[in-house]
Amino acid sequence: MDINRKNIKNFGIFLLPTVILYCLVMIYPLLNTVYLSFFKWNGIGVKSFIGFSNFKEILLDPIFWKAIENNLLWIVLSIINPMFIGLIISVLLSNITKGQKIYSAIFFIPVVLSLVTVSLVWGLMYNPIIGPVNKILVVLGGKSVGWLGDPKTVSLAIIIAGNWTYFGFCTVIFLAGLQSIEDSIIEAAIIDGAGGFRRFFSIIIPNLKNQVNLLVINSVIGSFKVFDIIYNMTFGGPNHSSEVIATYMYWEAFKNGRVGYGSALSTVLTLVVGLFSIIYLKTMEEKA
Amino acid sequence: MLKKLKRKTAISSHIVLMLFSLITIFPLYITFNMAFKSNQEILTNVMSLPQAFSFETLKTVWIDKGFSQYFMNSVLVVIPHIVIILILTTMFSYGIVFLQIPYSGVFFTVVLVGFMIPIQAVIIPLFYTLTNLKLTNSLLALSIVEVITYIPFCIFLLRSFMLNIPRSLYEAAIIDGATDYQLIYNVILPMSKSALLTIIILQFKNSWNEYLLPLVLLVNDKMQTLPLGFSRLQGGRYTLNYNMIGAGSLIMSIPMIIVFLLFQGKFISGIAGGAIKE
Repeated sequence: MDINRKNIKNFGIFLLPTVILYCLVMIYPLLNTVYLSFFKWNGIGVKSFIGFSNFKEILLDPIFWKAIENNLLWIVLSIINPMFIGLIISVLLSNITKGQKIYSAIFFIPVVLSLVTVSLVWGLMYNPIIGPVNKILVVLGGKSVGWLGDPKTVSLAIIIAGNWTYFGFCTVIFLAGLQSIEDSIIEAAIIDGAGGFRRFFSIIIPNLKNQVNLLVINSVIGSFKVFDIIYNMTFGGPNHSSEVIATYMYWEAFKNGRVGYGSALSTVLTLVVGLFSIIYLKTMEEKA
Repeated sequence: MLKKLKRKTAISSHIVLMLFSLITIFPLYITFNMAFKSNQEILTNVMSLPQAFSFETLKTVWIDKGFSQYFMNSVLVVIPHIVIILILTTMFSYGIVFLQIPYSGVFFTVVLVGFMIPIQAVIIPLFYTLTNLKLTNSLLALSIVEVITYIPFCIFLLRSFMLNIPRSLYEAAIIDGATDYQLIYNVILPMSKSALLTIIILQFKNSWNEYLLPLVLLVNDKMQTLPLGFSRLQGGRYTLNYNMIGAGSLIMSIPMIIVFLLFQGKFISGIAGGAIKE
């Protein structure tokens, strides 16, 4: 068999099945989403071409801007809270010799749970009648808060639940980074008289630069894609106050019968996520 | 010297770590606890252990609320999903690493782009296409869609693993007259065991927990997977089905937690693998 026919046969057997499915499930629908975003369509009737009107409407849509605001809040708080807690825990873990594995397991359990479970678990935690969060607040002398029902607190409350599923991830990433720091470097610093704080800021933090970069980009991408947890805790409510782009897009396309507008929202989301994913891959490449 | 310092700080570290552990576990303790309590008991004291362990709620949720059906559906999505993704990932990675097919670099890059495409980018047309093909409510169709959304990372992982297998091994086997399939089965797969296990565990987690795809693609009540069936128990933001939510959480999480504890190392390195490449 000559080399060309062998290549074609190998391509057909080894690559083609994946390539075909990939085109059907990814490439074609992706292009189709962009296509649909130029139409007004309710999902059943006739599609009517309206040019860039959907995108113009997005720019003037207060719910879209509320969603963007919430996505940004998710980004900021998913960078600050879980990374800060993860960093502290990983430093503590690197201080001990026994029990590291058990602690890591405990902190990692929320990472592996389904986000639906997380939503319902935290729904109970914030529940106005039985919720332990308010009970503890009251015991500590505070006032009951209507966490998920109050537009002012709802996003923060959901983000804290989201943070709970993410700090264990940050912990193991940081721990891997800490373990790659040579003991001799730290010992040298101790001999030079550097105290705990000094060692933390002069040795540990600079050595975790890669991990920090990766986690920041990961938080950004994850925060733009967030859907399950918000949808299951509040459906984006009350009155759109916890809406993000993904929940708003689902609402418009699948519940509100505005498929074209939903597609335009999803096109915007794809562009943003795609942009940050490229940065992410570039960072990974540099590290490799 | 470092050891001495570590011994000095170990006890205080343990205390703080235990505190963090308790805070982490607390929401799960509260929830799983409810599975064994009556709603009356939950209302009077939410934090204490159940006075008498009752398995009634678990039974109700499993039988009357259809969780046995949802559980089966989830299994029927997860297993084909893992089998298909393993076959396609192995074939594709072997093809681009060993077979020197022209343009395989291009195909690899194109598939890798899937890494950047969020599921929201494709879900709307996918729903209408599958509706037209009468494939909504098909568990198999759902598992295949899930395969494609997760395959970029799996190929990425297995390919870098295969690149470390010496090419001389491949050439020697071909000269000995082995076919590609014999080679894959007898040499490549055993040597890639660690990467394959990571893929299996990771995909078990991803497929078991998948929410948006089944939410859109499985319309029929009888066809729902566990996360969907579970979210229906909620019944509004201020639910009163406390004990049922507790029981549902337990049924949903236990398989996951068991698999996680059995393969903790693989699990963590697999999930972290998306961020840290070794």
